[in-house]
Amino acid sequence: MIIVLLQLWWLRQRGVLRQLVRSLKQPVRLIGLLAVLVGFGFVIWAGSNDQIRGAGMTRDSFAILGAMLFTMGVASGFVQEGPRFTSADVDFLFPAPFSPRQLLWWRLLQAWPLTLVSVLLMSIAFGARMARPGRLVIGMALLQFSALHLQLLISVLLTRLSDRAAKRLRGVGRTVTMVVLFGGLLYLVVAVSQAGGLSSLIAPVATSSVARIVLFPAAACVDFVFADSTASMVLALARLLAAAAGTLALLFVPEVDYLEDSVATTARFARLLSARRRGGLLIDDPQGTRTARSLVPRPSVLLFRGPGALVWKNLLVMARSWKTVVPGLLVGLLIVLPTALLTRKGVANGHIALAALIPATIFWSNALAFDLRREFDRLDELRALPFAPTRLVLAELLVPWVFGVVLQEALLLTIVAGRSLGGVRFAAAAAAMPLLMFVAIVIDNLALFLFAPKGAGRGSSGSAGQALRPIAWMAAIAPGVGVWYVLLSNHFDPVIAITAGLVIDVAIAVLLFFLLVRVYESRAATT
Amino acid sequence: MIEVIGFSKSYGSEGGADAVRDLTFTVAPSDILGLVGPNGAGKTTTLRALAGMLKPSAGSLRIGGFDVTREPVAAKRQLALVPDTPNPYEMLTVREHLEFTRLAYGVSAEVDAEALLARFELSAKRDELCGALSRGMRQKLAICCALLHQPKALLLDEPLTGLDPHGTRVMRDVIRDAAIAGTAIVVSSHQLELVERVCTRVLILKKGSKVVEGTLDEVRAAAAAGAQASLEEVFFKLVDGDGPAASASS
Repeated sequence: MIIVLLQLWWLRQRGVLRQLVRSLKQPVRLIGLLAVLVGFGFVIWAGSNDQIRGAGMTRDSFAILGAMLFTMGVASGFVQEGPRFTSADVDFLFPAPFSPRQLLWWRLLQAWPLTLVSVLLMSIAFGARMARPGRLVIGMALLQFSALHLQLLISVLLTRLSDRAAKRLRGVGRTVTMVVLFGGLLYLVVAVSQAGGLSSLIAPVATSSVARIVLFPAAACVDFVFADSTASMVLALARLLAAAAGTLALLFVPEVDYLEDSVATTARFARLLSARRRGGLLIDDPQGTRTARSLVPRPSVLLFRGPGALVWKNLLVMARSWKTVVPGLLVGLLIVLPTALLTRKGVANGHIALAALIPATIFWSNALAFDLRREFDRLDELRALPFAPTRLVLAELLVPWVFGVVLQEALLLTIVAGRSLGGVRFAAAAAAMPLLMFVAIVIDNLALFLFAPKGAGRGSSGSAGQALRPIAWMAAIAPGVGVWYVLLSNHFDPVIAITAGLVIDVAIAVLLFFLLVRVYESRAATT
Repeated sequence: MIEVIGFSKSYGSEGGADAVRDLTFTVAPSDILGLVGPNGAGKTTTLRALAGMLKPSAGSLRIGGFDVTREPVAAKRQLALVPDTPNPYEMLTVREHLEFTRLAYGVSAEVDAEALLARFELSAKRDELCGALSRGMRQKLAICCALLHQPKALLLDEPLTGLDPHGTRVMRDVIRDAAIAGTAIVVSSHQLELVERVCTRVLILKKGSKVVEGTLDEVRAAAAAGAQASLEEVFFKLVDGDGPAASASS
């Protein structure tokens, strides 16, 4: 039967690979792929450049990274009550003559290659910072396989618990994942910025004897990658292999019929994936019954008449999606806060902190995608509404823009507080924030329309669109920044220089907005 | 061939609402049972439980003599399920999808998949990706996949959804032909006309309980309807009124 599963697997992978190659015939996808490759090339070059790489990744840093990846991998098992499959698996393989154990093999056949790909991507990112990148690939792969096996085992065993207990564990798993993810990201941001501080706090925990036992595959991976003798390397490799093989064997010990729970889990994740494709946001509510209505004003408010109804609807949806909005916003904060906190002295450092707001803008635009990005599958219905396209698009963009700007200005105040930044600089930055956010939101919406594939999988902006968004955003604001810089270099009054730059960027923003309206009008019906 | 004995299914935590309560019926080879009922009556739950995708809270379900819970693999070898909204593997072509099914069920290469495709007018689409198929085409493909291994029990959940008039006619013929070949068939559908024209027996479900089961004449009699009453009239009389909650047949 394993042979049959392997044949099925190959048939499916062949289709995926063929489609991947075919999709590169589309210029935008090819450009997107090239952009991603250039990005990787830069990472590798930066890693191999002694001046940029510095001392490379330390054993402690790698221990934290390994512990983080392992914990997150295992913890995500708690959010799946029954392993997650694809909808096609449920429709075509679940009724087929395969036992739950055989279907677990099928799940592993799908997951192992994906795990390997993620390990390769991580190795590209971190390998150049390591003395032995080959060992990194092997160590990380075995570590991730162990985590995957345990993740599946947990999701299978969860089906034996009562609904209430499983729900509690799901909450615990989600919390652990979030804490580890953000804690780890925060650590990495600080460590990469060479500011130190937190590493001395976290490293002893990650390398403690308790952690080495509880997270033994991660400890074995660190020992393997950093082993300085052949004997210790072989011993660590044996431990890693034992971890991967042992967890695999453990996975097949319990004989549990998890199919019913997997059907529900698969349907839940399919809904989430579909929502994410539309706008990067989702409502993870297995029951689908809870609603949050407290903070959103009543629809009778004057603002919500006409196209304002879209604003009201977007506010409601955002209120009900807070579980996913907050993590997205936190990612943006993670980028800014360490820089802001670690550069509290001097005007130049203040500028660095202000510059950190720029990537946060892009993250927040993505996190607050309650606009046309969520409406992509409903364009025909939108067009049927009795509003002018300009007013409709404006109404759609209002919620993410207002919330994004409020966040930016609040953060700006936090950064500026206690610094020796002049009033003009602060005013300029405060005035520029709404513009920067608006341009980011318009470009994100445009990317969806320009890069989303027609037909199957519509609603996704695809990797090409994702990769090009920040570049397009920078290109859009560059003229204004350039004029400001040139005027300032030629000793113009700072107020004039800033005003001129802003006027140019406002003009570009308006042009982009009308381009979005045009694209929205002309997009062929796909629903 | 298909036996459902005292089947009950509750969702959610202990004491959750019953989706199906104490349902019993059998479908013999060459029989076509029409499973009808309002939304939420438990039709899809029953079919999914028969396909081994849901665990019964009580009772037993057997396909070809094999208990679906205790011997799921043997039971599944005998059956095919066509879900109400099929989700094929989007990156496979139509032909590859049939190949996939052939491998999964161990069907010999001699079985003529091309004839199935031709019957459902899918031959021209054989090299198209499933992701590019319309809803109706996906439905046709799912039916082709279901018929490929010549199942002894065929479960069809809303089989006409998305089908064009030609597809609808072919579907009706296919169901009849499969029955003639000895397949036990359960058709769940809101299209009462299809059930009336194709099915040899009818089972009406309401809120998870059987309202009536029998041949169309028996169901008419149970509803105290005239001999010429359509299934639609009988259905509304039994479902909207206080119809008998018992089998009309032995």
